[in-house]
Amino acid sequence: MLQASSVTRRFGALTAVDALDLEVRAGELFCLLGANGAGKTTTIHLFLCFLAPDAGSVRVGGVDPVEDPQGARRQLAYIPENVALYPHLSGIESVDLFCRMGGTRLPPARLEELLERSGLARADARRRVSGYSKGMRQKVGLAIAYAREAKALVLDEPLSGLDPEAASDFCAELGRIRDGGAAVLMTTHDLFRAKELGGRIGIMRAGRLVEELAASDVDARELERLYLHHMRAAPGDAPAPRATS
Amino acid sequence: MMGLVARLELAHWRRNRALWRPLLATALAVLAAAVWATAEDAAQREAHREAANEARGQWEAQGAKHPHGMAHFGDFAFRPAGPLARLDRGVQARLGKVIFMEGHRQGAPMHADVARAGTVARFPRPDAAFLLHTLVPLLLVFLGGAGLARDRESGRLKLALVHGARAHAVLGGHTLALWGLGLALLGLGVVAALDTNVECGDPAHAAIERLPAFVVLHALFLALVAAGVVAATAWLPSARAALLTLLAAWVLGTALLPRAAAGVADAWFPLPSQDDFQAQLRASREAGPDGHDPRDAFIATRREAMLREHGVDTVEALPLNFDGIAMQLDEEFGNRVWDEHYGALSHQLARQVRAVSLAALVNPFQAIDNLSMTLAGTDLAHDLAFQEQAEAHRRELIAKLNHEHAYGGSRTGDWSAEASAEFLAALGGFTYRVPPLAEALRGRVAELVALTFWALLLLALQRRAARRLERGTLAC
Repeated sequence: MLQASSVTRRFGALTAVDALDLEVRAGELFCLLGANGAGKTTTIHLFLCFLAPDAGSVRVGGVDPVEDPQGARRQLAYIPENVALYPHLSGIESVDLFCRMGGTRLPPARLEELLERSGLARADARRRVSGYSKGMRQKVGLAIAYAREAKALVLDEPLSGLDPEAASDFCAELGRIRDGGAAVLMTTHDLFRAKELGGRIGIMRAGRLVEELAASDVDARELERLYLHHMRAAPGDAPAPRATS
Repeated sequence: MMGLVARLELAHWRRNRALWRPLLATALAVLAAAVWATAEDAAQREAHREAANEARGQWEAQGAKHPHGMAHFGDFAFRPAGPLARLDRGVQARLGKVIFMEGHRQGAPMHADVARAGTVARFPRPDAAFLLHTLVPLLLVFLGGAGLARDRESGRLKLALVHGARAHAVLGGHTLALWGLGLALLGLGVVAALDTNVECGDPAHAAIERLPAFVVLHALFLALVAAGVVAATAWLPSARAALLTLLAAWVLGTALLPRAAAGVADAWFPLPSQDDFQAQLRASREAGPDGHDPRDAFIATRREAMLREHGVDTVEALPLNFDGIAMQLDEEFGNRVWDEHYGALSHQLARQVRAVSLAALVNPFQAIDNLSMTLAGTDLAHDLAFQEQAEAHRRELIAKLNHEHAYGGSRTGDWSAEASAEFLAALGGFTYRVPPLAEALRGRVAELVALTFWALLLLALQRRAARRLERGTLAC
């Protein structure tokens, strides 16, 4: 569903993404780990059509975002680190607004249902979002994504700043979305959640995908060890040896 | 979608109290300027009406009188301000609206200083149009520069684009909101300047066809400003860069370029000083015949020719009053002198105006300023038209008086013969006719081209910015 083949993206002398090969299939959740500046957000922006690759190709549901950004975006939903909403609107109005911006009008009952599904209480859905916590705004973001009925969901560090309960709820919802058949690509710094969510995990460093593994193959401690190894390694170092048990 | 974005922007302005102060200040300034100008206009119209009635009353109170005495008694030409002058006073306030018309001399133009006549257009005027051309764009720069940047910097723009919003609709919505605000302020000024008590004289009738053009062109200008603000904010990487660029463009367009254009026009087509102009005029006039001097060589030649023509030896024997003929000869020579000197001055002024018009091609602020004055009937061209009409009226009046002097039944040398009160009363007063709109706009083609050009350019820039935002080649 989401595919990057030998993608390179440079900003002047800096190579933000370097020969990246990545694929997230339908019904799969892929967590992209990496330090700040590793190239995670650039990768997300390549899929969202906000950047074009200097080399290689990106496909969203088989569509090249460079050639047909609208066609690629039609298959996507996106949740950023901070879901920025209009503070004077309520949760329901916010979902309605983004639906209408995308050319869809949903009845109020359906909007309420979407917000409820994302975990936002009915009373909160009618309050202005200026009084929302970050977790509540993320839930509105999820409701917007549900409304899109997108085949792929792209999330850029959505867990940062969430309290453990909100993060847990949020990840549970992501699991449900994946189980519904969508491809989910999420960047995060939260190794624990990446492991808990299952699916596959990639570690990026200096624009390269230096490690790719199934979450079921490692425990949390091993994942942390691998991560730190890659972060501390000099470019060109050998892959980290895996623990056998 | 465009309306949706515009409504969101309007809601943000409504909810943000910090924005109320500049908004209210601008609205009050436009309102005060229009109300003040309307009150001043009403007072001036009343003063003109009283003065015109007084002048006419004095003319008719003379009863039967010698025609040449009446040529020296003279009459006044009043130029009533049209209703749109309340919105744009243009250069009218500095050029005067009354001309004294008498025999032997063209009505003196009321320019305080001939050499400044071409440049007065560039001085700020405390009227609604000036505020609409300068203060309102500044307000739109501050509001608009922040609007799109706020969406971009908060991440809302990215979220909206990924979820199906079209960038051209987002940019269009922001433009629409700004334009709507500009239109509201324009409407406020126009409504405040409306006066149901306007006389149905010619300027008021002219305003009926000019008001829609005034509103349409100002609406177009405000759309240009709104589109320019949004396009700059979309193209430039940060709100600060956009604001600085827009402020620089505002200073350039409203202050520096107009002054530079006026300076260049003055340098290229200099006008004589009032003293030099009057001295040259006097010298040319003194070289011609003097109808009051029986020894004048030119008059003497004509006198001899007329004696031969009528087969008499003395002017007393002529079946007409040669003094009236001499006065008309004097007048016609004078007319040629005025045509030559005032014609050259008008030509030079017209060249200055054309130079400034050409500068408007690169400066939409100058273009709307010039067009606004033209539509309000308060530009230099309307002032010159008033002078020409007054002079044509003066020449006709004096020619009729001289004709009565010559052929009214008196003999040469009879300075006691009087024209009847009925004859004098039948000589109508001056009525100013506003030039037709098409004729007035003929001199403003460069400005119309400029506004059209800028409209197309900004439209193209916005469309390109929208494409680049969607493709990610512009930061969003």
